[in-house]
Amino acid sequence: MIAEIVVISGKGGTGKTTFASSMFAALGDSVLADCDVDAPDLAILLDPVPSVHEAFAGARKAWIDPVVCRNGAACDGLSPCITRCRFAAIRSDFRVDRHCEGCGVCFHVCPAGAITMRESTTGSLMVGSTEYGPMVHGLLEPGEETSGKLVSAVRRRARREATDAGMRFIITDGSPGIGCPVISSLSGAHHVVIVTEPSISALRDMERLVDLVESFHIPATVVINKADISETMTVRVQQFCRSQGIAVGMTLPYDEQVINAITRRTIPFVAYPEFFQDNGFGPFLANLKLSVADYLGVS
Amino acid sequence: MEICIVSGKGGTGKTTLATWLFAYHGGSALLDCDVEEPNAGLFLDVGWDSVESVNTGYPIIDEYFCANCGACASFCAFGAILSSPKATFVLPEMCHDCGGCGIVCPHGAITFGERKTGKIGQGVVNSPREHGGFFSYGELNVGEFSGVRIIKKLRESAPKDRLVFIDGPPGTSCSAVAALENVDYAVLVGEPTPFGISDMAMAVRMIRELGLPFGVVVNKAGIGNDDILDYCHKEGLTILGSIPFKRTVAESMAGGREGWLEMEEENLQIIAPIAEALALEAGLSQGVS
Repeated sequence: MIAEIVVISGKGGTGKTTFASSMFAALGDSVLADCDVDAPDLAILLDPVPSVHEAFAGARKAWIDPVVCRNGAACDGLSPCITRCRFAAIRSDFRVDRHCEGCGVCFHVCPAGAITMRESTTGSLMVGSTEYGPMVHGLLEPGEETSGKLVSAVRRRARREATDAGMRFIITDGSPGIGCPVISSLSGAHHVVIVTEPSISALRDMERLVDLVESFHIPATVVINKADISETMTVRVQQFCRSQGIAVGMTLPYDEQVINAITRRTIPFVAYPEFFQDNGFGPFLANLKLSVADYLGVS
Repeated sequence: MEICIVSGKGGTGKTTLATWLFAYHGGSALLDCDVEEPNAGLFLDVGWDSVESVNTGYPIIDEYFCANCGACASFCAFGAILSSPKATFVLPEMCHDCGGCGIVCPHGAITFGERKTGKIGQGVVNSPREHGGFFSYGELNVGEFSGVRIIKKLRESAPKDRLVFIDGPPGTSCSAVAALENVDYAVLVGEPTPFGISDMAMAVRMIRELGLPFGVVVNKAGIGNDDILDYCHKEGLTILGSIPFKRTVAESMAGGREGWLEMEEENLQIIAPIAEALALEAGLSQGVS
C-alpha cells in the first residue's frame, strides 16, 4: 500500500516546494511528484536524471480544413460553427484560435464536415531518478487549460513508479490556489500538509483551502513557515487551526540560510538539517507516518 | 489603458505592487483578478457598490423525455454527463457550458439552468490618498474548477475612463492568460531566486505568445543572487526597477490594511521610480496619473 501526502498552501510563496523537497529527502522510501504543473520547480533542487519524457495530449482542439470550408462557401456563409461556438474561438476567417475548449459543437454542426477534432499536446510528463528516490513531474504549456488532467497523469505515474520501486510514500507538491490543479491533486490523497505563513493574505487563502480540503474528508496538518515575521498573525493562524480541529505540526522561523540553500540549488534539509531538527521535523514526520499508518497497514 | 501584473511564481509580490501602484496613481482602478485567492481588498478601505453572483449554465435532463440513449454523455468532452441504460445524470461543476449536449439529444430532453460559480464585487475606495479609486474583485466558489469565466466578466466591467491595474493570478495557465489578454502592458514581478527565475521564464513565454509589451520588476532584491539580472539582460528584457528585500515590508504587508497604511509613505517612495519607469515604457499620457 502506498500513502500519498499532498503539500499545498492556498497562497503562493509560503514555502511549499522548499518544504516538500525537505520532506522527500528526510522521509526516504518515497516518490516525489511535482504537480505544480504551471511552474514546476522541484527539478531545480533534485536535478533528476531523466528516464522518460512524454508529450501530454490533454485536450482536443477543433481544426477547420480550409479546402473543404472554402472560407464559409461550404455552408453558404451561414457559419453555424461561429454562431454556435460559446467560446468565440472561431475567427471570421474560419481559423480556430486558442480560446477553443475542444467541446466539439462546431464539429457537430458543420454541414460540410470541414471540421475535425485533433488531439493537442498541452504539456509534458517526465520521470527521473534522484539521489533520494524517483521523481515524476509535469510541465503545462503556457496558457493551456488542462492542468487538472496533467496533475492526474503525474499522480498516476507516481503511483506506478512507487509500486515498481516498492516505495511506501508519495510526496506531491501541489499548486497555489484552489482551482482544478489543486482539486486534481486532492482526490485519493491520504494526508494534506498545508504550508502557510503568518500574513492576512495567507490566512484568508488558507481558510478557503481548508474548506476545499474538508470537502474531500482528508486529514490535514498545518506548517507555519516564516512564523517570526508576525507574532500576531501567527497567533491568529494557530487560533484558526484550533477552531477547525487542525493540528499545527511545525512552526518555522524565517531563516536566510534556507534561501541560501535554495540559491545554491540544494534541498534546505540537506544543507541545513539542524534548522529542521531543532524545529521539530523528526516528530512532524513521525506523526505523519502515524496518520497514514492505518492505510499502510502497519502498526 | 490597462496594465496587468503577473509573475509566474506565486508570492513574488504581485498584489503588493498592484496596490502600491494603485495608490500612487490616485483615482485609478484596480481589478483583483486572482479569483481563486483574491487578496488586494484586504489592504484597501472600500465602499461597496455591488456584489453580484457570476453564473454559468449546466444541463438539466428531463427524465420524462430522456431515453438513456447516452448520446449526451458520449458527446460531452468534459465528463460532465454520466449515462447508463438505467440512468443519466449531470456533474454540474464539470460542465463547460458549451451547449453541445442540448444540440445532440435526439429526444429534446435537455434544457439549461444557471448555477452560481462565484461572485464579483465592486466599489469606490475611501481614503485621502486613493481618492475615488475604483476597485473590483472576483472570487471563485470553493470547489469550482476554473475562474476564467469570472476573470472575463471582471474585465468586461473595468472602467474605460481611467488607468486600470489588473492584479493577476500566479501561474501561466488559462487564468493568467484571461487576466493578461488584450492589456496594453504587462508587468512581470520576479524574485532573484532559482525558482523565481525558472517560473519567470515561463511567464515570459506566456506574455510573448500573447504579443504584449512588458517590463520586469525585481522584488525582494538582495535575497538570492544576481542571476535574474543576467537572465533579463540575456533575454533583452526591460527592467522597470527593483524593490529591495526589507523584512519590515513583509511585516507590514502581513498585517493587512493597518500595516499597509503605516508604511504607505515609505512604500510610495520606494515605488516612485518604478511607477515613473512604467509610465514611460507603457506610454501613459500626461493626463493620467
